[in-house]
Parts: sequence; C-alpha cells; structure tokens
Amino acid sequence: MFEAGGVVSGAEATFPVLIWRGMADGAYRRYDIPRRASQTVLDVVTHVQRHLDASLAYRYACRVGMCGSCAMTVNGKARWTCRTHVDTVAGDRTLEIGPLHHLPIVRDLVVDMAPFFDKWAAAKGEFKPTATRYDDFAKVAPASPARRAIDATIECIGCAVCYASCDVVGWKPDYLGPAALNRAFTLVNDVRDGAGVARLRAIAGDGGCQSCHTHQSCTERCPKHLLPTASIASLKRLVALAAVKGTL
Amino acid sequence: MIDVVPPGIENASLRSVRYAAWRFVLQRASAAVLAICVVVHLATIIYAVRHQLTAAAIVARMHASAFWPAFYTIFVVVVASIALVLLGGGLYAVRSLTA
Repeated sequence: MFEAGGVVSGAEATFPVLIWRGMADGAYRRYDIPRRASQTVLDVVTHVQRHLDASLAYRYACRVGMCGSCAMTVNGKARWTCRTHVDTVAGDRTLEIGPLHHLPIVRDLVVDMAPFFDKWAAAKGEFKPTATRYDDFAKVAPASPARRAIDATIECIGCAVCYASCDVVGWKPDYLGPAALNRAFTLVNDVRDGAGVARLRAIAGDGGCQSCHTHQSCTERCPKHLLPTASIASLKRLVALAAVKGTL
Repeated sequence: MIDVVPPGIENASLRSVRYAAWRFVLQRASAAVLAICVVVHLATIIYAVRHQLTAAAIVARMHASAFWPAFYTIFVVVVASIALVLLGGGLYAVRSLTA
C-alpha cells in the first residue's frame, strides 16, 4: 500500500505527486492527492485537473485500455495510466508523472503525436487493398501461418509507450520505431494487402528495421503484451532475403 | 505478398535503401562466421597452452597444414568486412548529419 510521504488531513489520507507543468523548459510541481482504493494514475491526474488546478493539460478518452491516448511517463517509465494502479508503480516512492519521452511537449502532460504517426505513414502503415468493392470477401484461413503471425500484432492500440521506451528512437530521430514497424509487419503478413515491395523498401532504409538494437524495451513495456521486437526481427529477415534475391 | 513497384521512388533513395539492406546482410553474415572463428581460435589457444607448445612449434604446425593459413585468412577478411560495415555506417551517419 502506498503510504510514503502521506499525510492525514482530517479523515482523508493524502500522498505527494509530482506532475510536469509547462513545455520542454517546464518543471515538476507537487500536489497532495487524497488516497483512494484501486486508484489509477489517470485518477490522480484527473483529480488534480478537476479539484486542484484546472489549467493542467492531459489527454485521455476511453479509460479502459482501448484507445491508447493516456500514455505518460510514470516514475521514469512509459505506461498507460488508465490501467496502471498507483500501488503497483509508486511503491514507497513519490509518484512522478511526466509527458512521454521522444515526442515534442505541447503542454504539461500532452505531447504532439504527429511525429509518431508520421512514421506509421512513412512505414506505409496504411492498408493497400488488392480487391475492389465488387469482389467477394477475402477468405483468410485463421490457422494459416501468415494470419497466426499477426494474431497479436493487430491488437496494437497506438499508445506510443513502445516509441517512448525505445533508446534507438532517442539516438536516431529518423528511426521508424517499434509501433510503425509492428504495423508494417502486420500488413506484410496480410494476404489481402498489395503494397509488398514498396513497404519493404519503406522499412529497409537507414532508419528502418535494421536500426533496431534488440534492446527489447518495447516488448517489456508494451501494455498489450505484444512483441514488437519479434515483428522487427521478422522484418529484418524479410529485408535480408529480398536484398539477397535482388527483389528489394 | 504481391509485388508492386512503388511509383515515383527516386533512384538515390532506392540506392540508399539497398545499401542499408546489404550492409545489414554483410554484417550479420560476417558476424556469424566470426563467431565460429573466435570459438576455433580460443580452442586453439587452450590446446596450445595445455600442451605447452612453443611459438616455434605453433608456427611449424601452421606451416604444415593449408587449413590454418586459410582459417586465419578468413578470420582477417571477416574482421575487415565488419570494420568496413561499421566505417560505412559511420560515414553514412556523418554525411546524413552534415547534409
């Protein structure tokens, strides 16, 4: 149970929380938050915005781990805040909540997601159909190897936790990042998709899949327990094979 | 996967993509060979120490067989190719940063 630094005010116990305020040159500001049972980090931020400081900017939508919009840096690690309990992350330390790493800060806890999604586009993350509306529905066997390879990868919610956790993204701004590459891997294995070589070329450049150092931070921190590192490794093999065959 | 040649991709960009892909292939292939070379090299050192071979004895055995000169030639070529990949990557990064 989180108790460090907690104070009792009347009948209500509080605990200290540091929240990033301002833009890139901002600073952490302390708030004392009432302790609640099963309190999530998003509950904490919402309490501050509704009861202590209405000017606090943050982003969320579904509150149930589906939309991927509430990711923040919590005690140094990127997490989805709606499904992260204060008990599990703070322990006996002060809770520290900041904006995601590797993305420009708009204000307070809100980052500009444009660079993140621009890289999805750069990796040709959009589906390129090979059929028209006049064709019959595609029949994809659920047990086929290509479909099974993407059983998990299609569950990505685009929260950018993997992107914010990736050291290579920090070192190499051109690197597409785990989420965009995971998306590319999903489409490469989609038998209905027709972007084949174009997508491989998009993810085989200097900022492509070969830049991954296999640190596995993305896999460790993905809130959906996906394996972006495995997706990237598969893309590396496909790119190498295409280069050797001369089809790249 | 259906092959569709992307329209409008510039030749310079395509060259850069292929260069990056080939650097990756060369690095992985040379690293795989290097791993075997290092194991053989370490085993050789352990054998020489445990049998108290002198430098002259080692050189004599090296000259008596075509395997060892060939082995160490491959070793050097592999190390050189890795250095080339690293150097190429470094130069590419510097050129990208200064472009």
